[in-house]
Amino acid sequence: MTQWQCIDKSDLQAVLSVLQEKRDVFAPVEQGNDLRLRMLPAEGQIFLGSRKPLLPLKMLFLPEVEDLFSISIKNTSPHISPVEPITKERVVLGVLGCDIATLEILDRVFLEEPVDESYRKRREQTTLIAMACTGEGSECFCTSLGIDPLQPNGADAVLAEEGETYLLKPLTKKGKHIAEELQAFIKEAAGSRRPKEILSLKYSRGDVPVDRVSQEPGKLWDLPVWDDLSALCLGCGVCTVLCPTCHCFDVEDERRGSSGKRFRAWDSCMSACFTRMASGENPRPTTRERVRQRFLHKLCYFPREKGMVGCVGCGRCIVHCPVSIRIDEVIDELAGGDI
Amino acid sequence: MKRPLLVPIITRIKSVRTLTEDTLLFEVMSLNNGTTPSYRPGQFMELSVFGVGECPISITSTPTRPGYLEFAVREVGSVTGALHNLEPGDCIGMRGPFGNGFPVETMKGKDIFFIAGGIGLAPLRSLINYILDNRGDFGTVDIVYGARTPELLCFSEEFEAWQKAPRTHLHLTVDTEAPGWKGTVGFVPAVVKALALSPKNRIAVACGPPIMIKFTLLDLTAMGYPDENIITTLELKMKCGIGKCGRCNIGPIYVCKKGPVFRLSELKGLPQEY
Amino acid sequence: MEAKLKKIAKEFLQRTEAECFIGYEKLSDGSVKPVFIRSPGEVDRLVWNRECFANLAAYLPNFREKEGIIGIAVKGCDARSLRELIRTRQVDRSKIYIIGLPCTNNGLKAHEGDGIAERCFGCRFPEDFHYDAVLGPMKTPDLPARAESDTFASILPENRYAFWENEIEKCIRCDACRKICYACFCPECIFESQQPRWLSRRQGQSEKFFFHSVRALHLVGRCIGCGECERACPAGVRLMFLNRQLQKDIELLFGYKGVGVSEEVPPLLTFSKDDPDAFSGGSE
Repeated sequence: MTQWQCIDKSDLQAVLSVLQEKRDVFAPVEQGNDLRLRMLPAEGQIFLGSRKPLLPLKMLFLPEVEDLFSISIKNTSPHISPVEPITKERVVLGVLGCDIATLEILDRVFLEEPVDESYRKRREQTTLIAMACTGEGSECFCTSLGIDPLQPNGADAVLAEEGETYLLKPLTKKGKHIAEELQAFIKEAAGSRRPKEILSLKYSRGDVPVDRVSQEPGKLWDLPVWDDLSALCLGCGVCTVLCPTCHCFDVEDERRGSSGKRFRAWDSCMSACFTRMASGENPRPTTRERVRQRFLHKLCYFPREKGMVGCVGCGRCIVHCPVSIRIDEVIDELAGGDI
Repeated sequence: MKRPLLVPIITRIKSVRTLTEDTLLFEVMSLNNGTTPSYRPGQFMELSVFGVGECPISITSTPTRPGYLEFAVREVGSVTGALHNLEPGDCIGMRGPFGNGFPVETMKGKDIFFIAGGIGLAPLRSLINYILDNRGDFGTVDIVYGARTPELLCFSEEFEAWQKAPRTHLHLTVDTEAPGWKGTVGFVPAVVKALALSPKNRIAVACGPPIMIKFTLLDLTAMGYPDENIITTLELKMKCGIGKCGRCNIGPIYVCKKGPVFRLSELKGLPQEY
Repeated sequence: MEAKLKKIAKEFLQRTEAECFIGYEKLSDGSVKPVFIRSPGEVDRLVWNRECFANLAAYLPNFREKEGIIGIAVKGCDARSLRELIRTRQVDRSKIYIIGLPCTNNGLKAHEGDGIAERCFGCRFPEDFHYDAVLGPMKTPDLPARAESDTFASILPENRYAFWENEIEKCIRCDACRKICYACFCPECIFESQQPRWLSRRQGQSEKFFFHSVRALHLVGRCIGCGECERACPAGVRLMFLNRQLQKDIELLFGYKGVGVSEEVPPLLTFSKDDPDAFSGGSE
């Protein structure tokens, strides 16, 4: 029966060295005022605690830019060389519950037929060690989405902070492997105490009515909230870049002389030319249509088709929207529209 | 190893023929072992010009005539423009086939009414020839096809075969009078109305410029065609073709997977954005 | 002053030709954001305080198609951008109703802590801008420009590239800076163009440098120094460092005090026979 095990905080560097022997290790690292998920060793202090990295975990499974293949372009016989997505095993340390929950959502897109091999490999070869989180700020509402930040589902192991120690509990086979490798650092077992007994949740709004948003687009199509949002929203797309579950991508070709590459990169439905065709026609010509599409896709279409809300309540969009648009308020409006 | 997603196969252009002033017909070679990938009428391929990009083009040949694939490409943007600069022997990439294709099984035993405008004939041509190659399985075939001018009518070399085929009628039209044109003059929806073909046991399949589709669908409904018996295709910007990149998402579906062929009844259930 | 603002806005919205009024409102979580009020009954939402950072004039080009008159509340600094938007015909002066918001000597609040916002130091006020109504005498906060420490002069030339490499590396290509800027009103931005595609989606330093340097150059002589780009940036890129330096350079080269301070056209958008460089046959 797996129990909580203790590791001294002072052993952290040594633990990371052991992990890095066979794998690539990623952890949140301070960069200026932000945290960024970086591969170790990285410049900057590692931070393990209740703070979200600016760019979410999706960057490790659907990279910002990913080469698909390179091609040597000769008229008589071009040759395509697909790019191998990742080769080494990976560990991600210090992931919060909201980021972990996004993988279940992304799985429903990228592991559905036809399976995205690059994504699948990354999922298979990555071990996720979550950090028990007490909530970062008033923007957090992960608990409204059924996420438990103190002991997140979907993690391979959970780390919790207690005084000068970290408590580690493996949850899956992958997690157990890691724990076994770190045997040298394990002090006495912590018994059956769990993070909930040592930590208490500070922030997470639990009453955001996501379940009351209708799954009939017709009922939400002409609500007055779209008038307000379309005037206010800049269409900048910060929300889509920082959102853990946003996964739209663009595919681009580039060429230099007789060699070329095709890559995919993050794209944003908030961009004016997202749905614009070469002929110039655009079914979503103004901010109004695009804002509506973004919210309805996350809160109405995705739950209807995939059975899960396309939001994890992390609140990054709330913190960083330059004009203070709040998705929890939009959900309140949409839930009211069902009446 | 499984072929990684988004990586095309390499194929070669066998021939290029001019259809109209801005549309070329590409015949593409089969795969190395002499076969063509199996496909259904109404599906599309993502064609790549390496170093430029990819675009979705519907397959205009029919699977009943194996060994080659045909694509009608109108020059609109950077990829189609680059395609137009290629010649027989040049290589392109191909991914697919994607999309749902026409619901051929449910059309068997019925009369089929094709309505096309301009290059909209391209995806329908696949189904027309498929039906003519399986003549006994289907009822009468009526084709209304129009373009702005006689020069913009595509696939004119097929017209004779269609006119001669059993229980098949071709009604050509152009928008305005043109020198040397002795056929019908009038917009496609007007010709459709004038024909007044009964909706009984008949499926209407329409493809063409948005404005033509808009009026044609209204007229067909007014003539009594039920929504399930009116079929059309949606044209949207698409990238991956496999329901992952999010671009062709409308409401709960991805057009590249659940479409691009839709019954009017299905379209009415989607958000009215297209 | 808020009471007067609400009164004037209410009277404006009661006019038949009034389309809407653009002002600021304060949310329950304390953040202040733009608000678009359509009926006189809503004017109680309006606020005017030291956290009204947004440049509301930047929204006006979006209302081009509207028939009616748009009311707008502008600070002195924002009025500079409004003058430029009118000059470049992005905004029709006859279709807007401008209310001037006077600042106190404390200007706007700094984003961190209780000090004064960076942008308020060395405030360049539009001297002869015509407002339709004001809440009080429009005057500049009397805050001298800060010392050299916030521009390039404080960084040795040999360290400048490394400085920018560090800043640019933080950029996540989110486009917030571009979308919030009043001066970025091009219907199709060069970076949105598909044919030709000027900038790829690659996230390398080269691409990021290209974006930021082109954008900064497009802003030379047009930037009002509002700092909204830096506030909107989620990654903390110090964009104003670059923009303030370029503004200093323009002043040095052309004696130009800043866009919208007077009716003078930004130097890079026009030419004059007194320009510093000679007009030659192009052989230099």
